[in-house]
Amino acid sequence: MKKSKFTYILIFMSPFVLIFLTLFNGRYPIPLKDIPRILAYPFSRSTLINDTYSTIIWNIRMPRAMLSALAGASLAVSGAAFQGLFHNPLVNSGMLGVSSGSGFGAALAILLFARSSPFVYIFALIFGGIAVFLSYTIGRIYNTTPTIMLVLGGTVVSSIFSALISLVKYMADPLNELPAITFWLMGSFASANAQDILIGAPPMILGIAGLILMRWRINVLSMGDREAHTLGISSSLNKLAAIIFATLSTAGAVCVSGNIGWVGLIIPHVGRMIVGNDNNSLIPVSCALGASFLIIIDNISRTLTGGEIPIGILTSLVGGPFFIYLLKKTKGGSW
Amino acid sequence: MKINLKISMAVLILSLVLLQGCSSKDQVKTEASTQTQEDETNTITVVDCFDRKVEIPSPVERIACGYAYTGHVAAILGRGDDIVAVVDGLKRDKVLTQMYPHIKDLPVPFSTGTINIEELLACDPDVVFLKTDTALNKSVTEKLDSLHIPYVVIDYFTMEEQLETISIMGMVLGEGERAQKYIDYYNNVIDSTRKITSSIPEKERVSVYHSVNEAVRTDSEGSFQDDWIKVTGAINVSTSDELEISGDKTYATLEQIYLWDPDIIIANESGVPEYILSNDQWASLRAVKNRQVYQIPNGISRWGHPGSIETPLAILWTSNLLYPQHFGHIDMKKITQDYYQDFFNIELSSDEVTQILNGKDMRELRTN
Amino acid sequence: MDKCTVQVNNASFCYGSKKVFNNISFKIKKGEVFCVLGPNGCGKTTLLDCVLGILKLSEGNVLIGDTDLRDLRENKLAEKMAYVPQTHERSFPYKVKEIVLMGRAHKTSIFTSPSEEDKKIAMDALEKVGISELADVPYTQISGGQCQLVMIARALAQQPEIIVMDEPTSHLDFKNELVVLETVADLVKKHNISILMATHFPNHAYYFETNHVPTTLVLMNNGIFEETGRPYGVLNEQNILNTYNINSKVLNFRLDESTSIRQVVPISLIKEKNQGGRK
Repeated sequence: MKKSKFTYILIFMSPFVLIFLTLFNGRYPIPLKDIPRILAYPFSRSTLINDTYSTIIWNIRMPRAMLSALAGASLAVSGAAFQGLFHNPLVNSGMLGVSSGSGFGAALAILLFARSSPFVYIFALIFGGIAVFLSYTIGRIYNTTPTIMLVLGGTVVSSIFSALISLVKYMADPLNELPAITFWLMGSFASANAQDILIGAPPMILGIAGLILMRWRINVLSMGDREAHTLGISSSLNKLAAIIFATLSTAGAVCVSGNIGWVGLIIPHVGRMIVGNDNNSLIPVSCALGASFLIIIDNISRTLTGGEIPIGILTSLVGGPFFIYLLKKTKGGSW
Repeated sequence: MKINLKISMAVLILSLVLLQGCSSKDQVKTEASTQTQEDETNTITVVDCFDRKVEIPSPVERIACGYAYTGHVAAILGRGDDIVAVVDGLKRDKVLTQMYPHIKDLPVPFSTGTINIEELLACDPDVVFLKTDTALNKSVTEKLDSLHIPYVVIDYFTMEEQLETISIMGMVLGEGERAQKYIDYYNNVIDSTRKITSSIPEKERVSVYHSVNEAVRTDSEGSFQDDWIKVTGAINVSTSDELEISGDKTYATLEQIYLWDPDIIIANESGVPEYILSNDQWASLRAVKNRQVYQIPNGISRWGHPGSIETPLAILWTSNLLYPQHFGHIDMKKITQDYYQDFFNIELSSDEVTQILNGKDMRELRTN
Repeated sequence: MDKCTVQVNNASFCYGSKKVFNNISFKIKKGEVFCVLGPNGCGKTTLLDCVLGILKLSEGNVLIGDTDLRDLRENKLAEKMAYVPQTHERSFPYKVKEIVLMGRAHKTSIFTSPSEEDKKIAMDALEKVGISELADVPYTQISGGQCQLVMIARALAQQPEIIVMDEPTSHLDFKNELVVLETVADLVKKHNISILMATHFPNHAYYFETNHVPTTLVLMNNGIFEETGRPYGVLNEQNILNTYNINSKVLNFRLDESTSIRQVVPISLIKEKNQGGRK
């Protein structure tokens, strides 16, 4: 084993440590001495604690930290899975049109209902699914599932849904729905609350769990349909299962945080530089790294200025140079 | 099966788009045919908000409103019937479309920052009122110039500038008297309110958080809202802090709002007060605990919104809410009724006034 | 009677209306090399794909052991039969041992990973083809010949009764070609594995027979097996002329007391169109 146990422990502990640290980072000052009591608050039902402190820790910072961790993990894991499935390292979790499909669903729901309606999530999930289904159907126009057709299908479906998003934006009331749609598409955890967790977390957790369990299968699937078949697994069935899990987690992430690009492309590569290509370790590591990355990004986003820079912009801004640094440091790693 | 479904979906979307295009085109034709050719001998020259000198035919008989506010002012100036092209938002103002039902069927050549020139040309406007972002778009203004469609830039950042826009539009439309009447009313409200609020001692001042559309969208220092809320004697909490800027909008974070912990929260979007009052994340705020979360009335516009003409009403309503003891519980219902009677020439029923003051359901959801 | 590992009965395959091969029957015995030789486009790869279950026969059937191929699920099939591809697209730099471990996929379920036992089997397979020292090297950094050995090791890790190889040496240099052939011959002799191999090189068949590996050779052309038998019997100048339409010479060379080797050497093309050589 090239990497020591210590590296793995560090990677897997980091999201938890970061979530914990995040609870103490914010504009509202919370005295250090009160922290143990605030943390114990939900369990002790103590009345001594300043109500505001516990609201900020438990209702504002905690849901936000958890959601960004989950979204980061989802995007990274599904990105790694898609890269493996389509044996193409340049693929990301937005493949097959999930992101733009979900984006369109949410925009449509904002237009038809209110901005905080649960339909926003439901529509995002449904249309994310529809987008993938369409891409997959296009990919199967020939009776096998050649990757190139699938990627092509995803590109076509993506652009159709992007166009539909523009159409919805065009139809939206500029005073009213348009800001909500735009802000939603840009992605922000600012308004993350218990409801978001309730609706967004189950698909993400399900997707992540599925892909982690399937992680070794993805190695085999990355050998291509032909070899996967002769190695003894049904590639169409396994692929379908992996795509469903990846879609669930990506759509869930898009639901709570909008279109956060990049994480799904870059985090798996960072993972490869650290632990290599075996999805057996890469997928769990991507999960932890993705979670940590988005927590850090979200923290930067809410402390850098008094207000907030949309997280989609920051991921690219911070992620890009970091990735170049890593490439240089590892001399391309094992590539 | 799947293919069929996809095709029918595509057909549906296409036909929706086409239908919309067709209906607006038909509209243009009928409008144009009923219009008699005017001999444009007289022109007047006005200076717009960009300090441009614009030559405009007089009298102006066909008005294109490049954003909602100009439509509202045109209505106040008694020229709502002459509006021939609008932005989409205007079609959804319940009060305005009730007064001028034809607005619902007008073509919409404007979208954010740009204009569909051919559609605008088909409307044959005598003058076009534009917002800054559209007026800064060279490709739009060059086309307008070459087609000899005069355009007047109407924009403002303060109440003073807002008053000026009314005066400019009054001049353009030849309704100087009506404009002056509104300006006088407006100034009168500011002066009389300021007289009372300026004497309120510092320790009695109420701190206010003003939510604009979205719960966390609020006022920055030097904004239009900052300007009018100052008159009401309130401490506008968000204007003293750094905010997130997104386009021309500014946002606060929940933690900032906790830091400010205002006495009162006022929101101008229907549903937002309910959201704030029921959401766990807002629950520990003093204003929420004390149930001091209010909805600003919504008439022809959201009162006190950056694009609202009903600023005087916003001032009266807010100052009365904050300092009833100083204002002696003025009768907002009567004030509102008189306002619409005087400036829009419509008589509101008691129910209608109540609806405006409650600020609910004043904008139609888009269904077409 | 020898036990058959693969039996193909009256197999035909059509792409649309085009018949690729027609009414082919053959048996592959345990511990033999079954070489399919024929010109480009004669249907070798299609036939292999049908045996592998990647393509479905239009007519006829394939028996793996006593079971019809169509009744075998992928994992059951992979227990009996493994595959070494002609080319392998190396997309991710997996380590060699990780690639070989994939040979154990048929023993895992969708949500499980290979056991320690599986890892041991994979290492044994590497040992058998003699590249244990490459275990931790990214397989994108090894030579084409080594990569083909890795593919063979992966096939071995499946612990199959038969390995199907599609032109396994086609991209290899002179030495690596021999490395692969030697490894294959070794596997058949030591581990009693059957090999179904499509090849372009008549001399491969000679090589196996020269090295005392039980070998059956078929000459495939025009969608049928034109000749079947021992390489020394089938590969004569007349049959080469029939199948490839070229003049050739079969050469014998005595290496030492006990071994003589045989090679067929192409001499010249037939200049004018000679339909007489074809059926």
